[in-house]
Amino acid sequence: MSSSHLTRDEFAAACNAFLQRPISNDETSALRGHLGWTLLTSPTVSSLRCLARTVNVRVIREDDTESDEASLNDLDVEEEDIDDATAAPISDQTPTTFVTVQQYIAYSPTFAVPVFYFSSHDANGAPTSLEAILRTNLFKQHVTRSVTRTAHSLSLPGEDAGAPFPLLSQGDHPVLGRPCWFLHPCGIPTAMAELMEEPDMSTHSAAWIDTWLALISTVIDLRT
Amino acid sequence: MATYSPKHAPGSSPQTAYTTPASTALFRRLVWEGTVPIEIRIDGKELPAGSDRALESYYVQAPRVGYLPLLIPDIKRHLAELVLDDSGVRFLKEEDWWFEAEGGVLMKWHWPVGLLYDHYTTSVSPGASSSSSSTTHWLPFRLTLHLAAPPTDKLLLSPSIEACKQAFMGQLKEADFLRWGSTKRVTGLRKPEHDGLWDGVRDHNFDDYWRVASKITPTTTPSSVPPVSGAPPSSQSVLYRPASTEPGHTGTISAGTAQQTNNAVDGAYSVRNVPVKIYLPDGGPVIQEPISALDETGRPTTLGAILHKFLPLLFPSASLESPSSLAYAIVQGILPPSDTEMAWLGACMAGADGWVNVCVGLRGATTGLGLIGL
Repeated sequence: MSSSHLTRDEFAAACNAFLQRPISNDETSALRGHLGWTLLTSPTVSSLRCLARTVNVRVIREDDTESDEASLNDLDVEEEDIDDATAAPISDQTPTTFVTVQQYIAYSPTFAVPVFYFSSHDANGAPTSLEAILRTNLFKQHVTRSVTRTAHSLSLPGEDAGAPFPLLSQGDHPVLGRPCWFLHPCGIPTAMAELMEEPDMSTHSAAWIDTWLALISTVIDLRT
Repeated sequence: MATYSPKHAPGSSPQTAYTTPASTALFRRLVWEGTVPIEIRIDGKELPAGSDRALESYYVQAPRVGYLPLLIPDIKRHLAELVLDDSGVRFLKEEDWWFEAEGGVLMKWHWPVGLLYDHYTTSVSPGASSSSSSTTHWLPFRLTLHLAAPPTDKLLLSPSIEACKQAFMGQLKEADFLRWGSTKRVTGLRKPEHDGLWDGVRDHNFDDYWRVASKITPTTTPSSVPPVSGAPPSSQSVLYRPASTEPGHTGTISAGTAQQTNNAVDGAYSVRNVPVKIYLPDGGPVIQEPISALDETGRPTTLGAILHKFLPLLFPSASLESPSSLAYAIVQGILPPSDTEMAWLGACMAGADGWVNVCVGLRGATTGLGLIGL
């Protein structure tokens, strides 16, 4: 198993190892991003698989279309930790609106790494716009604040026409076939190679998805 | 099937500009000029009172390499605005429009028109239709335009041209990455070139598109690999033309036999992988696997070989024409022979987004994806 890439079979093995890995009670709060995933297999082509789970994310901001222009250009990465506070247990907060998000970990044969896909809908089942998604706590707040947004994509600061891919765009889900949002995987292999350098990591199949989730969690709040 | 505009007959095409062999340029031209005749009707149930119901359909000859959102301005002007009265036009919201083919098949905004048509015809099994099993049964391609309540969970969020362009550029870069292992070729383009690719598709302008696309697309000039059968794959495909392709256009083209060896780096057989997607019928998934230009023995990978490899139950041998084949495969509206080389398809028969789309349909009255049973 390479530290930077997976074949389709290795991805399947890594998913199985990830699902079978026991999570102790002590770990549940720290590893909430690891909970609730199940294996989804295409009914017609059984080699097409992904991990899937459904979570509810809270709407944490009102429609702030007016102030968007200013805040989107505000590269305030210093405030990164604020979202830790908002992600604290939500039990005793006043009920807010929720957006339901289907999250998927699917395999990209082009980039030979897992890809994070999601689709989202409101309480009435209507798909939510990217604007509405950005008003929830799905994305880490430093991302929400710094990205450049079009109706169909998100780009990180510094990305322009010359950058290969936007951070987030729409594409067909490789197993379900319907369009979803996905985080572009082009930066993943380099980052994975670095993270998987640790000696006992690369031999441990479950560690692949673990480490990959850690990488995704720099952008997506997986603890919701 | 693709129609072919006579004004671009090979003899009259000024195809020497891009230092690509004549046969490559010819097939690129054929793909580019391929169109799908479409008949569009507005869903009668959605027409408000005061609409002119006498005007039924709008017909358009849509480029295969184009996209439905690009047709919307025309459809609005020539159909919707004529059918609806003034107050109806005022409330017209194009962002709520969506198209459906017969049988309730939803048309995706971000798939090229040629792919929508090929996928539709291969999905609707001829055996399932009692009226006719002729290949022209589906012409024109009859689409219903709905003016409201789009099934947004199955479409891209909006039918905007901008969203479509974004999806197109994403596909183009992914194809580039598959071929060369990086997106340096696409990202190395200057901004006007970058935009020129999409503008070429939008305006259906072959020269504008290929002026730029030839910098990122491999050529078919045989480089280090001698053609297996002694003839270049392109000439072979010209001469061996299945009966199902358009008539009146038989193999009289002198093959691109130029044996330049100076561009091995850009050669179709030097790519890491050929960008290929295999579409299964009836809402089955899209199969995408790395497909190298050459197999383990160093011979060019053929269409028959990859279909046999990935769909062995539908294609029990690498011969697509074999009676034991339960299915057939279509690329850009034609049935390529089994020994069509994937690298050649990648250079000559890819869509404008760089991908070779292979649509698989089931033969005869056999239906049901249970047969694939992978």
